[in-house]
Amino acid sequence: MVEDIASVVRDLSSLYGVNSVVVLNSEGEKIYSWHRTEADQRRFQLSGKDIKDTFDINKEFIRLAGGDQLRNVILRGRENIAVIEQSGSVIVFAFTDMRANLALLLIRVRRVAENLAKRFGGALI
Amino acid sequence: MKDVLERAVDKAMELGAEYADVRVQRTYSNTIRIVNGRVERTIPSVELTASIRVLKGTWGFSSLTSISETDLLEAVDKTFKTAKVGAERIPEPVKIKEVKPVEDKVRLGDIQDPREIPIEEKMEIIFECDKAARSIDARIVRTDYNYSDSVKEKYFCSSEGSYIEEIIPFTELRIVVVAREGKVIQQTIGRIAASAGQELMAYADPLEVSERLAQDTVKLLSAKSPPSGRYPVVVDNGITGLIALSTGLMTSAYFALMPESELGSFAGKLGQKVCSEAITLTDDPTSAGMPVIFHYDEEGIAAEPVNMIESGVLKTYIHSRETAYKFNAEPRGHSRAPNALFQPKPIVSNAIIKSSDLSFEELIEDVKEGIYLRGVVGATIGRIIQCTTMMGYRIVNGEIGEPLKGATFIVDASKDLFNVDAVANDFDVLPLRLIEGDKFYPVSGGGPHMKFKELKIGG
Repeated sequence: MVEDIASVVRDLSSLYGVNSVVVLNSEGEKIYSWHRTEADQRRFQLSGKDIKDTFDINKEFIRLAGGDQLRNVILRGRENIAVIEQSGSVIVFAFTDMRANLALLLIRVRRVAENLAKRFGGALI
Repeated sequence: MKDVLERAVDKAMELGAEYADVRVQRTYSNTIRIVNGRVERTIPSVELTASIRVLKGTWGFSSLTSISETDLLEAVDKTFKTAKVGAERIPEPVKIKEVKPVEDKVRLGDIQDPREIPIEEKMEIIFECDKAARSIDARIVRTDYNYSDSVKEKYFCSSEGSYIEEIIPFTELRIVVVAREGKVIQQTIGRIAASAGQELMAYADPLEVSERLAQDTVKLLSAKSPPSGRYPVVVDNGITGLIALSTGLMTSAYFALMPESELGSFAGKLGQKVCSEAITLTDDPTSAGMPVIFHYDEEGIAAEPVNMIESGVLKTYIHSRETAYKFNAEPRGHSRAPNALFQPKPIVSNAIIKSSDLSFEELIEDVKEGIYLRGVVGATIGRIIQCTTMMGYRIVNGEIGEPLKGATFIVDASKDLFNVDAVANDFDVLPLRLIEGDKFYPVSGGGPHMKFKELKIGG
């Protein structure tokens, strides 16, 4: 299954500027992770729980603000962008540097999340 | 660049000019058109335009597509001669308002420079949007995506000692969705545009816009046609924007000096009531996030917001240096041109009608039987504004009722603008193009929801 997930995630990891991609199930367990280099992997200290908690906090934030369903979380640093998107039982996290095309990044994160949910949604739960 | 341009204006002054300026614009642009998922065209281009303006009794003006010193100096020579010959035939010499010289360089801000994004990435975004729109419903029969981005590098140099460089980005996506069921055809149009880089395509979420547009188009297939006649009408922010733009154009001193022209309605009306008290109209080329942004206009004047109409009263026109002299007013940075090949003239950039503190619900609560119109499909503007809207709703006893297909309406600026009853507390903006020849000015109009006591609409 990991190889199948990797083939779907490649759509996202091939985008210029993307350094890390993590796939979680709805419980926040890491199902798959990819880092462009070993240095990226060493620097990466987020757990699956960190990513899921961040998404959930923002979900609640939107609800309390009077909004409806949260689609994604976008965090912009001076040099980096982090995106978390949920589709069904799948959560996809991408971490990029500023060279990434943000518009395309959002489209591909969404596409990968939807494709993973479609293909492996049940199996990841 | 600076040295060459300075030598050009210096030469004009040596020949005997009263004033001279040189404008250069290098435009990097990309346009992509995708229809029904197929690429119709992709045009990456770099365009260099330049012009020389010399004042000697009247204007001499030459435009060129080269900035070699030889070509510029030769053009100065010819331009000076045309000004001199022209001056002999005009009754009154042209004068311009004095301004202080400025030296400045305005660089690109914190944007994703579209020149650094590969065209295939831009195309992928549009393909995804197109796919998303077409997958909404089998009745979607046509999708048409027009994407364009540009970065303009502008240079201005005057004989008074001004030298300005400014870089201006612009990104735009126009979406047309057509649905068909039997003989019923429905079309909707979406526009995303801002003086921004590629990040606009992320923040404006064109995927979401495409899906919503497709959903609306399909929904409207079964909507009833709007009634014809005169009704209380509430228009959305985009339609308010269209009216703001048309009214804003009439506040240009350029048109006010041509009372016979289609946009010359406000000639001689300074200090008079030209519309309802509910309307305060501003032109602001400096506001971040708007479709048009510049720090300096085409005459090198620092741009600033101007309230042309306050509570229905025409307070000032917007000016070039020449019209400012004629009206004894101040030029405040509103002279524009589609590119350096055109002479600058005072034209609005972002014409905005000011919001009030009324909520939308409060705006419609006293409407017993009226129409709420949303979205602009097409329009002609002038003294008479004719607009085809995307959709409508009945308003019954202060509540939004059944959806309606788009309607056409007519606003006669000289009468109907006095019929504006109130405006709401919200705001949005409609990016538009003002066509001149084969070029266009990016412009926008914006404001709150607006209520007319009565307006003529047609189904």
